[in-house]
Amino acid sequence: MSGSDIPRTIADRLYGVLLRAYPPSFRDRFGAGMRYAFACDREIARSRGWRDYARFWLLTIVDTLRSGFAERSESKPHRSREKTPMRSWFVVDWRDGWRSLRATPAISALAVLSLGLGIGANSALFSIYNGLMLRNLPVADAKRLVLLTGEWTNPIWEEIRARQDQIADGGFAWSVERFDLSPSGETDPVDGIFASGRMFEVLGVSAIRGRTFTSADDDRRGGQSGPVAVISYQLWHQRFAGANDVLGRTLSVNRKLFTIVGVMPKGFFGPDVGRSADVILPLGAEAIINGAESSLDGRLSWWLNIMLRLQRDQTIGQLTEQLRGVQPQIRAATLPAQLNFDYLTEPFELEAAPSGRSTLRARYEQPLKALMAVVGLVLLIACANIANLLLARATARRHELGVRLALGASRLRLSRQLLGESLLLAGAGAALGLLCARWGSRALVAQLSSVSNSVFLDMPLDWRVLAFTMAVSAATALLFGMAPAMSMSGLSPFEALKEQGRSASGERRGGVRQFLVVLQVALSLILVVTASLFTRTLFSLTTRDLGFDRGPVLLASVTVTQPAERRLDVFERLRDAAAAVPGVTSAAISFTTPTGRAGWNTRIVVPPGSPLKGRELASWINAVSPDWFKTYGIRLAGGRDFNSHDRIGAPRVAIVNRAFARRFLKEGDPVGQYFSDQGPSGKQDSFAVVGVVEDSIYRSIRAAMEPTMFVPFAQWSNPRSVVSIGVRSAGAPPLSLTRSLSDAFGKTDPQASLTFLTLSSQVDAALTQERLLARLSTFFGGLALLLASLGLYGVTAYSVNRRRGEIGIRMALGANASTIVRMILNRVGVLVALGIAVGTGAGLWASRFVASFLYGFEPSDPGTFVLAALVLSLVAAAAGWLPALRASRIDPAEVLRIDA
Amino acid sequence: MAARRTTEASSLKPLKPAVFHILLALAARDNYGYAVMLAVRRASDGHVPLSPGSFYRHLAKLIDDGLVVELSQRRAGDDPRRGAYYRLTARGHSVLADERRRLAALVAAIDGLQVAPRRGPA
Repeated sequence: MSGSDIPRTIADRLYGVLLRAYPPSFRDRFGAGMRYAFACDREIARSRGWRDYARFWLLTIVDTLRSGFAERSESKPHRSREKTPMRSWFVVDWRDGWRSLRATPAISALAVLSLGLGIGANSALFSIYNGLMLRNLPVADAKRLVLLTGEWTNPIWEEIRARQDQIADGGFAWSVERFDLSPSGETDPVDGIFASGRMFEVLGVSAIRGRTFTSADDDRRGGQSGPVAVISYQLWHQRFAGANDVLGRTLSVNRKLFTIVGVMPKGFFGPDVGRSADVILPLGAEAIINGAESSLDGRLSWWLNIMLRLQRDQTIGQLTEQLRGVQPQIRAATLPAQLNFDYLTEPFELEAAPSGRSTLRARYEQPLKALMAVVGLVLLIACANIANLLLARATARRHELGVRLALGASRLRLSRQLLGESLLLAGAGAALGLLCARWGSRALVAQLSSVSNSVFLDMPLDWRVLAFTMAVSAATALLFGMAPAMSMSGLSPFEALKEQGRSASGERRGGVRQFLVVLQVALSLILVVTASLFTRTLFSLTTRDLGFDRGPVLLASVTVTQPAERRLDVFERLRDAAAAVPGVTSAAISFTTPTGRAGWNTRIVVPPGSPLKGRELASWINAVSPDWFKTYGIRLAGGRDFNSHDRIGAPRVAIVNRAFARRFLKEGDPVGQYFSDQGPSGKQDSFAVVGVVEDSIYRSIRAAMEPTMFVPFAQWSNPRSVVSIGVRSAGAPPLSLTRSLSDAFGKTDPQASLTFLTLSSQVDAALTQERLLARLSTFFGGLALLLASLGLYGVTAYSVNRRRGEIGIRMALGANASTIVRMILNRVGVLVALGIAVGTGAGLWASRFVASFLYGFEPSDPGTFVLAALVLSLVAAAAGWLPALRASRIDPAEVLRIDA
Repeated sequence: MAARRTTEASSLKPLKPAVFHILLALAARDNYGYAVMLAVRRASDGHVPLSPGSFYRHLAKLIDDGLVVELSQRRAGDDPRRGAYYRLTARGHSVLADERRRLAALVAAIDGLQVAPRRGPA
């Protein structure tokens, strides 16, 4: 065929599959021209945006299948026959399905809407799952990328770098950073990375403007072009409005100037999935940014990730072998001076990393799976609803179908028509679902971002998402289409004609419908239970007594540029300036803040023979200034706060919390006792306990109150360049202090960079995952309730309708309205009770899977189940009430006259 | 070839809009499939939305009926991916002329009746 030299994209191949709808002879004659026309049209549609593109595909699929099958049926030997309405089963089936859906537009729209929501929710979560877990990095030949498990020091990386081309096909190291783009004052944080010179070359990506940096730029003083930076497409558009002259402009990164030399393409987000590397600096620039505190020569600073590319035909096992082969040399070359623990004795481990590295994966894999199960159940409920609907319609059409059967239509053909209806519904639902999914997945990912951590996830509508959506839709069509199609098989034309649309045997099918309702109630119960478990978890975490006041505290993260020996002085002056701001009750410096991201722990020395061992010996530690406890509202239970005399040179003192005293100190008053800790270098320090404070949360809100010791900030010999200054507001909202504080800090030290955050938003950020689970499960639980109540209403209304005659007779014989209402509601009650019983059993079994997300109670918590059952019963009563009321208003005379 | 559908009878019936436009486009010049599709879309202002599937079915019928032929020779320097070129036959021209006459008669009949559209209060 002449079209064989077209470069085949996935779309072309898909079209090739579609073309198989035509008879082979037709394909031979026109295939090439059709492919060409398709390719041209596709280009045009694609350039007009995704909406037109989606419409184009829909049209192409429908048009090709339709005309293909029509051509097939005409090219059969009886082609010359006159056109008959039954020219092709395929065309007729679609058309009949479409007609019968059009006949009841409200019901069809409701069905498509609930399907769209159900399929959309599933596709949305799947596209997040795909973006986070499955998708390869958008780089050249991602299959050959491997990650060296763990974090590494720069000296180790330099040893590997020297051997990268012998043992592998190149490699690179990078570190995850948050850079400050503001030239002065308050910080302007963006996500970025330090990357070694060959990263772009190894990944096989190039810039769309300018150039990427290379090994020549990866220098501690900057390469030939001086310090350089590469920026992402997003940053280029957000900060530079996509300006063409962006190359050569300077960018202030952490108050140092860099020259922009390149802009990365749109889809490139760096080696980390879940965040976007908006500013990429050469690894050597770390020395420019951090100056004397650079980690580049730190033999104990574990901060780099290392990725290598396998040579062609090299397996991951072979590379591991080779890497382990040179491990002794690497160890010898990088051995730290003072060493008293195992260094690089664990053999190197590699893991395949075609989809990059991600810290989000471990955190969100389980919640994502739980949510996918939840939306799967919602879809099942929607399916049951639609099955019910189609079943009702099929029953109502028994007479019509009976006539057609009597006239010679085959059962298969009738079933096929009903299935055609289902497929049409599912197709429309899938199209709507894809729209919902695109919007929903973005909205969801936006929810994952918090003040301190922005999440970026690239989620294109790729073949996996499309295939998933198609598979889900096909499965749903089968699920809800099967029941009505199967009901055809028992249909006898004789009976159907006799029935004239009302029947006793129709009740038999009512059994299937009732079963579906029981199923819906059971599934909804599971979802309502899940929702209340997650919501209660969130509630107990947000209302937990954390041991400190979150409301009135504003946190300022302050980074200074002075050398270590002058920092204490600068920090104390900044603190005094903050305390003097009007509206501030107190201000205090600390290494970290409650629920903050930084953690510092130490090992407490215990007397020989103590039962404590391993992790039980660890205590959290924080360096704090005087007034810190007052600022954060942590109550002093005994002894004294630190004061200005607790400085270097004075005896070393500590304040401990009650948990610490319980675990490590002797009974009696802790104040006045002594204890020692042991640092990583083996050095022991002894402390006198001068005060005891009540327990408070150190980092994790879920954790129990853990032993914590506090040391005076002024006794910290080597303070870092960044500290937190906490400020307690006298009454005004803490954020309103930002302006006056940043003025006060600016006057004291114009060089300092500042980031403000309220303590309550920091606590909230720590609960992002819980909040997301609670919100989504509540939303889907509500949706499930709504769908189930619609189903229940439908079934009850239908059965009331069928029993009009019976009810009329009962009323004529003396039954009053309340008897009728009770009779109908009893029936509803039996269905709901059955559903609740089944749902409770299934829920007890399923709740084990969410146990790890819960806080403060058991997954099988009886209160939760009782509450869920109560909610469901109420909703069910409401859904059954309306038809019951209508039944009680039946006029017996009228009914009996019609039925007579 | 499959049994021909007679065009003598059908030539008195109105042509389908798509068929009419395809004939019209090929009357202007010989062309390949996609160019004819574009010409139809342009000439009908998008009112005849032809997709490749339905277009080639129409074309197949026109070839079977002898109104259009596929040219066996390709032009020099032509993009081979476009597929074959097509030409209107004498029969095709005459069917188009019939249609033209039919439409003209129709217009004349309407003019003769003087059913000018009236709008607004008489």
